[in-house]
Amino acid sequence: MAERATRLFDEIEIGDEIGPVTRVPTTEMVLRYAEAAGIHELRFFFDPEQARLNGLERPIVPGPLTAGFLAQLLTDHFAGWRLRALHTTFRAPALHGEPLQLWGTVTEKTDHDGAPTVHCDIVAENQRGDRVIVGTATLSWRG
Amino acid sequence: MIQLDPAQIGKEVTIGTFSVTADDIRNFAEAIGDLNPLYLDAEAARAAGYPNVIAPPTFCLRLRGGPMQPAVPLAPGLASLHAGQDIEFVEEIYAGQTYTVSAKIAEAYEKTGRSGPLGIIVREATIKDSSGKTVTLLRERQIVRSPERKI
Repeated sequence: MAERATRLFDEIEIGDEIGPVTRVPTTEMVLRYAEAAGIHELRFFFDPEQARLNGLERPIVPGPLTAGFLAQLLTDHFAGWRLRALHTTFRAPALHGEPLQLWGTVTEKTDHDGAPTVHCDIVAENQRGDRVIVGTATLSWRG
Repeated sequence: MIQLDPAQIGKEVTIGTFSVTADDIRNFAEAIGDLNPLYLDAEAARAAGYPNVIAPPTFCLRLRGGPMQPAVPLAPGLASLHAGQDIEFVEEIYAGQTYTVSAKIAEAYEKTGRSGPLGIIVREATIKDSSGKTVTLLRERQIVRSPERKI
């Protein structure tokens, strides 16, 4: 887990690194997520035969679960800030039990009309070096 | 590949109205392993200025539901995958509130990619609270293709 820390706008610099944090989405976690997120009928996430019929070598991790890991990376790193936008592209499947390294980089900071805002690039990468998710995020100061 | 009446594009449908409980939020937060006190502890949430526990950002996908809607008929034997999502968080989602989700197909088209023919379906969903205020905007991309192309 990332350390949850309040960061003031002036303490944040373009180029600041967020993470890395490693998360391992186990089959148990996928099953629990499917139940909590109401996607248990999408059986290719945990049924090998359904995965094969859907063109997958094996069951995969739901993209939104990995996106949730990235959201947590940001909200933990920027405690006191509010996630305003999360844009993600699912580029490769994440596999059950395979560690994912999550990180981000601050790309821009603005303070127009007293509304401090930070923009970041975010990445989730598997241990083979494949970028499972790439994206961007925007956070604003909650105060 | 995509068998969709063009008249369905842009036609908004109501997915449903959902009451969010603190248990719903706790279950979701624990499922993704995010134990932020703002999601679990009403006192911590109130100390941060919220009326009750708030939901983790991607909880909005639980409200959107399982299979992406509106449904799009596909030719038999095709497979589809979620290709990405853009979420704008306008307001927090709280326990004790009721939310209405509506969605539409924004775009649906076919193209030929490096791995062969693909169908692209883009949906947009809006989540509003009981006062009609928009709390979340969601845009999701689905790719349709032959399952013979293994990933």
